[in-house]
Amino acid sequence: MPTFRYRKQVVVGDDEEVILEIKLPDAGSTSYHFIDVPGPIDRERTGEVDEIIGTGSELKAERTVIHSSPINVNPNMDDIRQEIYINGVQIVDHINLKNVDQTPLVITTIVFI
Amino acid sequence: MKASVLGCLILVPVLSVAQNADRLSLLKAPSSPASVVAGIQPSSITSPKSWEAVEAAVFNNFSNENGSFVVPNDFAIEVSPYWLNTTKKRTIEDFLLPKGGQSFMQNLSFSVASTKSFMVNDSVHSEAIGFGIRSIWIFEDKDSRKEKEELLKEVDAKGPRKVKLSKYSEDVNEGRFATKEEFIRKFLNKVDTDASLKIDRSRLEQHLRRGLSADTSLIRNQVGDIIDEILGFDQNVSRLTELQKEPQGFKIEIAAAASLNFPTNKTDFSYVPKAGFWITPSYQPKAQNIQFLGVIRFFHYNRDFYSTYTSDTSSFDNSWDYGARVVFRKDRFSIEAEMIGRSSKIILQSYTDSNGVKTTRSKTDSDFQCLINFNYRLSDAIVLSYNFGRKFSPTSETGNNLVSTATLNFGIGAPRLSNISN
Repeated sequence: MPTFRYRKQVVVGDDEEVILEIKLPDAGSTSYHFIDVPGPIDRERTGEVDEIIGTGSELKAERTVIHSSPINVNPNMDDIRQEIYINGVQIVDHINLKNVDQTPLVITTIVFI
Repeated sequence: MKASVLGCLILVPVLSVAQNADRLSLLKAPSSPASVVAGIQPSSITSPKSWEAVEAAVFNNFSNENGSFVVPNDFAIEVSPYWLNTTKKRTIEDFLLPKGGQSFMQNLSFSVASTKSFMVNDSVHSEAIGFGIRSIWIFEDKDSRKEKEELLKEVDAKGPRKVKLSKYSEDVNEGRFATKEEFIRKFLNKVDTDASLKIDRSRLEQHLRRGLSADTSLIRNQVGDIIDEILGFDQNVSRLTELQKEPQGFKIEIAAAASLNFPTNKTDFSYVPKAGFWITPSYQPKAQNIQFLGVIRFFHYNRDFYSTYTSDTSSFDNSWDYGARVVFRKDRFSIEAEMIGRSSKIILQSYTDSNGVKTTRSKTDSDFQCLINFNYRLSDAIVLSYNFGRKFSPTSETGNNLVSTATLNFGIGAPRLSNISN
């Protein structure tokens, strides 16, 4: 089982609020996330996500790592998809065939600059 | 050369079966009814996931550079409105455990297919568009539904544990380690501090020792496999998909479609040459080794269109197909019995006399076929089959209607994980 890794740099203003969106475009999908943001409080989420994860200055302190395990139980779908957006801009479009891995681990590292 | 000869030897018996008799499965409601009535077999069907994508697909394909309407060639689109409704979040529970008539709405889809090659006669093609609608209504057994609910609970409990374990593994990777032993020690230390993981520590340690390589550069990507193995996450997801694929209980699949043809290739003059519907009821009892399937298919043909614009002299008014199938499976053996009836009204002659009186001579034909099919799976890729029965009467006088064929089917060429990874 491969682990899928993405590493992205995102430019944000210090006072700018950063919105993280995780979308699952296919019917029959869900995903489990562990969102490791700078600071002591990490977030555990299930399914689609749409929330503010902090301001630019807070997030620039360290990198943010999103550990996700997307699944799709729709027998008509051959692949598993998960999209990640920061402030409305897509940074990750993960797709993998189910016959490669039907319970993939997707690790996205975001460095805010 | 050897490979192609072998390929022919394998394909010949398979094709001979296909030519010998129609099968009930071919009469089931199609995934794109619009394509069937438009007479095309598109290489792919566009399935947009948002209303914006629907707009883009329609605009890109049905208008030219001047913004005028055009009929695209061999184009098929299927839209499922339920899943396009982005105002309400759709969850996996909605998908797996629909309530009441929700399954009908979830499976409802509209299809459009178009071609520039609808055969008018041997040398003239015309433009045609097919419109279709399809849905499935599922009345799932209580036991099957309960199993899904329990599996989903398990998956919902294991998923967060999986991503937490992934986080701990990455943390150890970040802090660096020199040996496999050091990784295991540091990783287990992190696991020990988190009571919410509810994991069998000694089993995890055992799997880590057995599954991780001594080459520390590989460890980072091997942990994911071990986490899945320990949690049994993969098996739960497989079982949910399997239950969703063949839901236990009663299921009725319906579809309808009509084609619109432009015989002069002008949009202001059109015909509806063909329209039809499909009803496919099926029942899958809890005992997975037996299955029942029924099929009703109806087509109406516009005789004016076929007699005016095609060289087809035996055009139908209506045709009905109906049938039933029972499948029984036991280990490597399966037996299928099916019966298909067919009834059609053929227009033999139609003329109008000097007084304007229209006379039509028609003939109603009916026929049936019944087949018994025995299969024995010799291995995962090789199936031995024997078919026996009566097929539809052939059109030639000398033809017979007995089916008795034995075939050996080889499944070859499936990709392996290593092929894909490389």
